[in-house]
Amino acid sequence: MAVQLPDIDLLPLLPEILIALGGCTMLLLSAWNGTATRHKIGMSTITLLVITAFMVFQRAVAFKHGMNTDLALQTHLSTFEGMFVGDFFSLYIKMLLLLSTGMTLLISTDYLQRKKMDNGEFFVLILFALLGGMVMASAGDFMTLYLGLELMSLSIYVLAAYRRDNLRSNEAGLKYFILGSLASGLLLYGISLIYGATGTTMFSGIAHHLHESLGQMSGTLAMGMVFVISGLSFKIAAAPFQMWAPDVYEGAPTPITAFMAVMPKVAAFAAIYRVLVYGFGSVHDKWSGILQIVALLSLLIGAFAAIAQTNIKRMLAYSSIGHVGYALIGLAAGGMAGYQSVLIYLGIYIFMSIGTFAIILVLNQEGIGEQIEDYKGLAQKRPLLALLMSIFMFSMAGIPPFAGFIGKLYVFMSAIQAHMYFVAIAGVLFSAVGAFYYLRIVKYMYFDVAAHAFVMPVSGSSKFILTVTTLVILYWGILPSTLTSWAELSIKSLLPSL
Amino acid sequence: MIFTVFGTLDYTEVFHMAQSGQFSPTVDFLIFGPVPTMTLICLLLFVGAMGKSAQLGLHVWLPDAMEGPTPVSALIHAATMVTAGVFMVCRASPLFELSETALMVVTIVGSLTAFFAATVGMVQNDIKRVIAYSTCSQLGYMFFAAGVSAYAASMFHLMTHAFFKALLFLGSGAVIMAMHHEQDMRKMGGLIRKIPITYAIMMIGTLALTGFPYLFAGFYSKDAILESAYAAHTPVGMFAFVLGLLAACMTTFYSFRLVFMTFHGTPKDKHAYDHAHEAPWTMRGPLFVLSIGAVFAGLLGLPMIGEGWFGEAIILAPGHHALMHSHHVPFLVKWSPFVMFVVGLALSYHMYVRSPQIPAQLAMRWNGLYKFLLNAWYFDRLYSKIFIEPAKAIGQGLWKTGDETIIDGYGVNGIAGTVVKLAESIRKLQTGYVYHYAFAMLVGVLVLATFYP
Amino acid sequence: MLSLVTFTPLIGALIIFLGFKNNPGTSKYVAMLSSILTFLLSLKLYLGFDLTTSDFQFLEESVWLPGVGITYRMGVDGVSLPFVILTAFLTPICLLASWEVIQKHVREYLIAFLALESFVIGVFCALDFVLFYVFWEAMLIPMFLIIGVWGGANRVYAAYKFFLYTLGGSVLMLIAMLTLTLSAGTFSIPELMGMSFPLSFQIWIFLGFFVSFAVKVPMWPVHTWLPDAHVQAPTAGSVILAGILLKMGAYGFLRFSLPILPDASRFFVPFIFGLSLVAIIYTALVALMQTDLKKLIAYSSVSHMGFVTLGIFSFNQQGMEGGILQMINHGIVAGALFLIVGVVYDRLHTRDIARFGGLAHRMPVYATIFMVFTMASVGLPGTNGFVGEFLILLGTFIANKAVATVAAIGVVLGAAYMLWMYKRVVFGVMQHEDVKSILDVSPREIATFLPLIVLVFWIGFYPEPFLKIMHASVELLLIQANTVKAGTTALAMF
Repeated sequence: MAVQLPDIDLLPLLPEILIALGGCTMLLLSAWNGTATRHKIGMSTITLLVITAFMVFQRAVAFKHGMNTDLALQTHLSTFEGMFVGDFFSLYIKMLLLLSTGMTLLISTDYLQRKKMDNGEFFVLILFALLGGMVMASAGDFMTLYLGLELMSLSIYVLAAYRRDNLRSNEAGLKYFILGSLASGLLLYGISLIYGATGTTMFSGIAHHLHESLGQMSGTLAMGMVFVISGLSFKIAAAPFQMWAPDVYEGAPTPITAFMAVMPKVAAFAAIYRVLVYGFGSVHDKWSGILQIVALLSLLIGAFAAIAQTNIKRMLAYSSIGHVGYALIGLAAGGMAGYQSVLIYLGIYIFMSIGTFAIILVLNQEGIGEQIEDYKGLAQKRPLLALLMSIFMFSMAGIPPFAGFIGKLYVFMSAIQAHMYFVAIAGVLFSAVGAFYYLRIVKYMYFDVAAHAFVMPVSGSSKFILTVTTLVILYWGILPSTLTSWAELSIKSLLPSL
Repeated sequence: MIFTVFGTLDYTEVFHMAQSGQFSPTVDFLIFGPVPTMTLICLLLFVGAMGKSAQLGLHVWLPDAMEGPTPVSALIHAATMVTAGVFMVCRASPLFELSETALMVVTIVGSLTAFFAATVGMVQNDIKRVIAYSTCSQLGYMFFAAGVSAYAASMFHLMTHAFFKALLFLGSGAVIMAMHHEQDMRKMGGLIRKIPITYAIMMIGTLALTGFPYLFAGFYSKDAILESAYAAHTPVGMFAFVLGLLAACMTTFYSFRLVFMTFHGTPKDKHAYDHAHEAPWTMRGPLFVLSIGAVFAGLLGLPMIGEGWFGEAIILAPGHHALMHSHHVPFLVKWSPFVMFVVGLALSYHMYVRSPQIPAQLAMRWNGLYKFLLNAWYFDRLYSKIFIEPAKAIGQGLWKTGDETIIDGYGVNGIAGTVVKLAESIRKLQTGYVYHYAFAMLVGVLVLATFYP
Repeated sequence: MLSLVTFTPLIGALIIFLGFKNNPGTSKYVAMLSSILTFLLSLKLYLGFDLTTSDFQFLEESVWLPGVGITYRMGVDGVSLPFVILTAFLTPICLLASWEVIQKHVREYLIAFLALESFVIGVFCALDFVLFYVFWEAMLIPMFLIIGVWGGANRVYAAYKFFLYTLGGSVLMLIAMLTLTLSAGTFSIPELMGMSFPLSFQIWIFLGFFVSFAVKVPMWPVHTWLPDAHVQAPTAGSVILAGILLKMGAYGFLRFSLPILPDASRFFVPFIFGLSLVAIIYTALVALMQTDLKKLIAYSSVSHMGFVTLGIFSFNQQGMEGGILQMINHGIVAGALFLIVGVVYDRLHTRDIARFGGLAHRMPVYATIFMVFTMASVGLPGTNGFVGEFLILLGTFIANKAVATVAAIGVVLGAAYMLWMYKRVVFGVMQHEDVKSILDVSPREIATFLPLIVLVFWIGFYPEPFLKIMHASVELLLIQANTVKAGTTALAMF
């Protein structure tokens, strides 16, 4: 009997290693040099992200061209006995994570400098949160998943409370932490129930178990699944686990809000894919109903509560709850179309969201931009900014020819294919209600008289990101086929049987 | 309607098919069940004609249309528009001939209009309104001529009427211009001294309209109509004859009243009188041409009522030969229009030239009747009460209640209001207390676990 | 070719956006040029159009979203071509009408307008459901801005109402559309025309479409956005709204409901007739009582569109051609009437009917132009309104005599409110000082009206060139609409 070597292949892990090493280096650097190298740390963080993103992209392209033929790639699919998976799906998610983190940093450089927040720790925390997210995306086991999740969450708790002198920021961090711990507890409890029922924490093991039992689930397993769904729903801020989101979004420093709106959400969705779509994929009909309820509740709260808001960050919190609702419809619908639609939705969502926050951050320079009323008459003073903002708003409302429409289109198509007519009709009606509050911002910008001078400069990096996001939204709104084919490929790599 | 029965709208084809009976004799119409096809078609056509030709019931627009400038009203009345209805009825004679009922209705409505409009015309003070009602009345003549199947007479009168009515309108236009846009006859008078040419022209027109024997156009055509009505030898025909006769008398009365009030007597408005002047030559030119027409059109057009002038264009049903018989009516009937003319003229002369105080006394004595006539039998007000005011009220109601209260109020804004209220209440769920949030999460888990199938 | 027609305005908008940052004057000419170019291109379509076939012409096809089978597919037939030309025709007129009136944000205005034109033409050319929906919805954005930015006092409410009303309708259409296309397995409109579906399925899909189209038409009782939108929009906005956007709903019926869901369409004929009659009578009565000129014309639009829906659902050649022609007519006449209101509004800044009176004395040319369009709106023979209304009434009469009779009452009411309005505005005595010094129409304004007047009489006297492009397509549409696809007996009720 030959000696079995532990399955340790570091190649799939390379992006994570880079980020982890980078994070540690930054930590050391900031400890050594104090405030002197602030700027350098920021720059090197962004450089690191670009390098990593490039690497992931390279690998993804290689996958795309040789997924079925290149054996070398196949062998590097997973490592640590399957606890860590480096498939195309993970690469896709990691690209979204890296993009959202990188773009968030680029739009917030100004803000960070002004608020003296550009300490080394800030970037370190961001990097560790990102690392956690990436680990989640590649998790093949509940343990890996939990590890990534906690790394990400803890970093973000701190980030939310990063402005120590600001009461609201502290409150946000604390609230997020307490409720997040509760959610982690739920998740852990669910994991242990599942382990008790199946004897494994591996997703492939769970899938195997369900395959053997011909889709029959014991009560324990089912309870475990419900708890896991609840725990993860907290991370994506889906109703009824969304309560923290508005308070935290409002209280956290705006760059962190932008970051929270995209990165952890994408990571948590990746985790849901790993657990539900892959692990519990064969009992889709069992969890689809739960997700439908969660989706409808999220849509309801996202659409209605946002109307009553006066703070734009709060409003965007509700709007993101609504977006999560749409994405969950796709998951609940299932099938190739459904799973694919969520990935498409997420890809589009990060660009819309980052773009919107970029404008909020630009306005923030004059100490305004947090209240919706601050946008009055923006179109008269800064027509271009107003134009971009309205593009983001119309896109979020799902009006063609912007990308937001494509996301919704795919989601609704999948819902109808799955014969979820009620959910689909409710979904479109909520989207019509939702259009109301997006329009309100357009209304303030275009129809009202300017209340501020709006003379703030726009930094080069913000300009760059605004250009990129706008172009992407326009391009994907008209020609989304690159995005859709990548999403399709991700699902194929996650679930080869589909 | 014609289209559904015959499948075509071409005159020739329809007439041909109607004659040969290629259609179903009855047809379902709305709620009335089966009704005779021809009668229905003819009556519907006739309603259209009534509207166009200002017959009783649908005449109210005509005097009001006087707002237009004078040449337009001349054109509208005399020559083209209003007579279109008459023309249509005559044109469609092959259809009307097939329906006794329709012809009867045409006769009755026509004669009533002739009578009604003449009575109203007697008391109007606006020079153009007098002529307008006179037109209305003359159209009534034409219709009842058509009703007794004397289509040729009808067309003949149509033609002669075109000449003298256009003449009268343009003449009155000249008068109005002379009086500086004054249309009220009570303010005129004695103009004969200032504008003799216009006077002469108006006189020709009046004589033609009233049917002065043998010389003027109106005599021939009107006589032909009245004689035909008499000669039809039907109760309806007699009815039409009597009313027509009375109307003829009144026609003379009001026509001369117009002339007398305008040109004779003493000027009432000294200032306007002093500045009165003849119309320019551009205006007088057409007037001369028309007066020649008004005099001679009758004589020249006489063959129209003879045999076969219209050839196949007018088709008579067997037994409908009122027009032919009209040449052989008793002497009394033949001369009765002239008698009426004389009576009307005499009355008018007496009342407006000899003793101008009589009209006022009469108006005082029969105040009710006078008002009744002055307001054209209160048709305007009746319609206003029956149609216009309710329509306005309903419109207002639908707008304010239907649109603004129900659809917008409860519907659109109601939904929006509900949404906002709901939004507020959902927002209030967000208390800010961590333990509330945690509680919500746990309830959520419970709910999901319960919902789990 | 069709793409060229569709996107020429958008290219113009792009040039204005990128090229003329601080130059509203030149931007105007660029906008005018691109819209006229579009019109010329659309005329070229007309000349190259094959009258003998009912097929879609000038087809363009390329893969758009692979995987789900959504294609970029464009084409026109006799039903859609008139609308393409109408759109291309009205836009330059609108631009001319707003030449001096729009003073603030001129460039943005032009961009919004040209984008609107692009999207609307796109709606009429699209032969793929998703493509259609994209254009259909995208059009809301520029219109929302046009009403909201350049509109009247209560513009925000009107803009919201317009946007949310239409959006609420069209999202349901999206669901119906996806249900239909996914169960059929194709997004191609021509292909779907050849397929058959069970009746109950058709009914549900029909209802989904109906909500959206009914809001757009607008049919009673979802018409209340229109008066507000019309009143608040700037003149050119009202013109384009009345002239073209309203036609999209009726076009939807012609393009989708009748050929794809014929059984359901026949099933709902009594329902549609009922709503149309209510619209005709109800809104005519409401129009009678309006004191605001624009509101009156807006309500008259609802009433006239009631005739259009009557004609479309009469299921015969006369009615349908009349319906299409009447839409074109209404586009011309209502558009012109809004321009007419715009003329006095620009001078006096009021639309209150009571404020006018006696305009004929100061503005004889204006009064004449006004009269032409009033008569056309009333449907006087010799004007285009007569031809359309007559064909519709004829078609409806064949379908249902009682309905036609009630509709005829609507014609009378229509004459009543229009003429009454005309009388109050143009005749009578001038009561206000500012009216006494009002100036007659300028050459620029005459230039905007002239082409419209020509069309009024052209269609009025010789409609054949306009009707002949529809003949073949309408015949095919009739065949499609009259086939029983469901094969059920439920249709026996009608």
